[in-house]
Amino acid sequence: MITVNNLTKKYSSSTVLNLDNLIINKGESFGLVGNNGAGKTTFFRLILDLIKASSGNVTSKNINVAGNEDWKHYTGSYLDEAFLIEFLTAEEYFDFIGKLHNMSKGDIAEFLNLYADFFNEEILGQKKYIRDFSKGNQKKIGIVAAMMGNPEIIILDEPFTNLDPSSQIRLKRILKELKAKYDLTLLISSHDLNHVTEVCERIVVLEKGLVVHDLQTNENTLKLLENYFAV
Amino acid sequence: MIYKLLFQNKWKESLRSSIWQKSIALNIILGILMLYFLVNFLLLGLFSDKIIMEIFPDENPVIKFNGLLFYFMCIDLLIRFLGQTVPTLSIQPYLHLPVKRSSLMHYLLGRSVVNPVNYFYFVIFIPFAINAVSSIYSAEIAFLWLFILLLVIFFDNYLITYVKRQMGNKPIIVLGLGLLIVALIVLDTYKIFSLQKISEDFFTSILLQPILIIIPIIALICIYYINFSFLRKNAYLENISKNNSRKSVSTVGVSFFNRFGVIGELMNLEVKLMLRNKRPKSIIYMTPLFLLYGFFFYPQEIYMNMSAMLIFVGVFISGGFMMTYGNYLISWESSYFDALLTKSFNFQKYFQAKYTLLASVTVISFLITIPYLFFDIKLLYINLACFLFNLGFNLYIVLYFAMNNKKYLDLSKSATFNYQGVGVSNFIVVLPMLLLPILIYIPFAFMNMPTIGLIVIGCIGLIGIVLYKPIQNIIIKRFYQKKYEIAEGFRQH
Repeated sequence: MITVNNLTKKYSSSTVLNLDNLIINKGESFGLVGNNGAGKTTFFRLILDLIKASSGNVTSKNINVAGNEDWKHYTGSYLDEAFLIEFLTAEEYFDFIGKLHNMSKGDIAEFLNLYADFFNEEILGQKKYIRDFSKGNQKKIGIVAAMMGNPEIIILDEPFTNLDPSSQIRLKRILKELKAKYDLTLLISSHDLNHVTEVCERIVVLEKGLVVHDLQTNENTLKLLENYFAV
Repeated sequence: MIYKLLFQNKWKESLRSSIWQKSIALNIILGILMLYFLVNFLLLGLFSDKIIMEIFPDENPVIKFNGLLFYFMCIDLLIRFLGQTVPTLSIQPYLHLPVKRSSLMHYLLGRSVVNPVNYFYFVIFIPFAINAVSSIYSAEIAFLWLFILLLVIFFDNYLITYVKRQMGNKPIIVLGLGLLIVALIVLDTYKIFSLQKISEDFFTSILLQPILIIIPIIALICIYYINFSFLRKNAYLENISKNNSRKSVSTVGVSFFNRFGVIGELMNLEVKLMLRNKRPKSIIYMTPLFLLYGFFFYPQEIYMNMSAMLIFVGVFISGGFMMTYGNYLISWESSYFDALLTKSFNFQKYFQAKYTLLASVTVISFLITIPYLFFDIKLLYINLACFLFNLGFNLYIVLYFAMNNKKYLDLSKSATFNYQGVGVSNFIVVLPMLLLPILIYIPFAFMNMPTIGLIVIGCIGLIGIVLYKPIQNIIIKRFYQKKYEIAEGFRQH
């Protein structure tokens, strides 16, 4: 699904990301862990063609993402607040994104209905702009919007941060269900080792822009990761 | 002690504010602009007594000047309403610290004493006090006069702080105040009710009987105290943050656009952007002024004979919005630019939406200003040529150069005197748009063929309109080359 070929990203002289070859298969749930500055967000931004690679490329369905926009139709993403339009209400934002995916009003309502539990009655019908929501609720809006339009790939940067415990559990359930149902390719990064090992089948550990571990998740993975990050 | 610390922090805040983190060139341009206004005001101050004596040769210029002071107060209130900010938020970091609440409020109010803006008018007042007041009355009276004006200015300052805290930024207040001033001027000219007379009597009697100075002093103390007690009661976090979040939210979109698919959605989004954020909104409020720009020039014989000047005005009337708003066309969306880049639509449509929006405003502006032809029919031809030029040339310039802005734009701050996210290119790009049509016109005017000159300007516009597709492709191609750079810039804030 996604192939990385000798991808590097340099800022002036320092290399922030350097990946040789990495293949993410269709239907895989791919977890990215690493301390701050490891290059997680940079990697996601490169996959989304938000920054220009210094060398190498990322292909999605065998087409280079740079200079092509086909991937946008089947890739849902939420990295940070820059993905939200702060002066819209939550409904208007979903409406906007939905329309871009050619969803009708009915489709959108039906879609949002699926996430009623996750929203916990705090998102819809609030009569306030997105900028006035709490960080956690902003994140919920962004994550759900990323799932609009039946994407085949979903990319989320630290989706569990700022969510309350119940919402974290609900989100894990949602991600697993989506994956089982639609054979979704899932890319998430997280600082929470518990969550990421629970959701992802494959975990890649980045350190200073390099892959230091590439693991298939099993019962020992969490222990291994905890040892790796122990100081 | 505590005040000293607070003011120190304020001083650091000002020094480290993003205002200074502009390029040197921009600071120089702004500096020159400031200097220009300062010199203008200074000249006005130096010559105001002579100007008054010229108009009213037999009257006391000081009394005449006093007659204008209440009007000055009203206009100052209007300007302050538009420009003055009420930064309650700045005390938020101190509220939980062991500082007395009342000290914080006094600090918040006292800050305006050190705000240089409040002393700006004295560039006019001091020369007048020296030239006129001290020579007609005495040096002591001149000091007294300046002191009264100081009281007046701070009265205005605290009055507007209170009004703004109470009512927020409602445009209806500006409109009301504007209409009130116009009404007072009308009543004055027809001698029905003379604010001028009241103003003359009020200020002159203080000069004659200095003890009356107690009246403005008491007024100032009262308004300060009203502010203070209101603040002390209301400075809690929930009230402070209420400033940013409006209670009820208008969710009315412009359903008219919905018919146009993705382009319509993008235009709808842009309209919401304009209406719901302070900074673009202040540009919207200014747009009617662009339309009225003609009234400054057309009634005057000198300008009516200067066709080059009229072209300048013509470009500005239908293109003013396009130039001011369009300058930041992409930067307006800097806070969610990453979202746009990853969502499933084509950037062809993105630019088409922008083009349609700016073009619509330009067309509407032109149509509204057609009645200027009642001044002179030639204005219609000039404005038509300029309108075509705007649509077929300037609009592309705007779209093309909007990509040069790579700075994050904070939408929540008002636009008056706000240079956050502004670069030198924003000033430079306006120049060819205003000057080029004049440069094209001048040679024809010299050859005594002004009509041909206008036709050429209009034709350039028409050709541009016809070549819409290829020009748009050039713009989009450039966008794809620059998008990483732009997105990178927007992320840095």
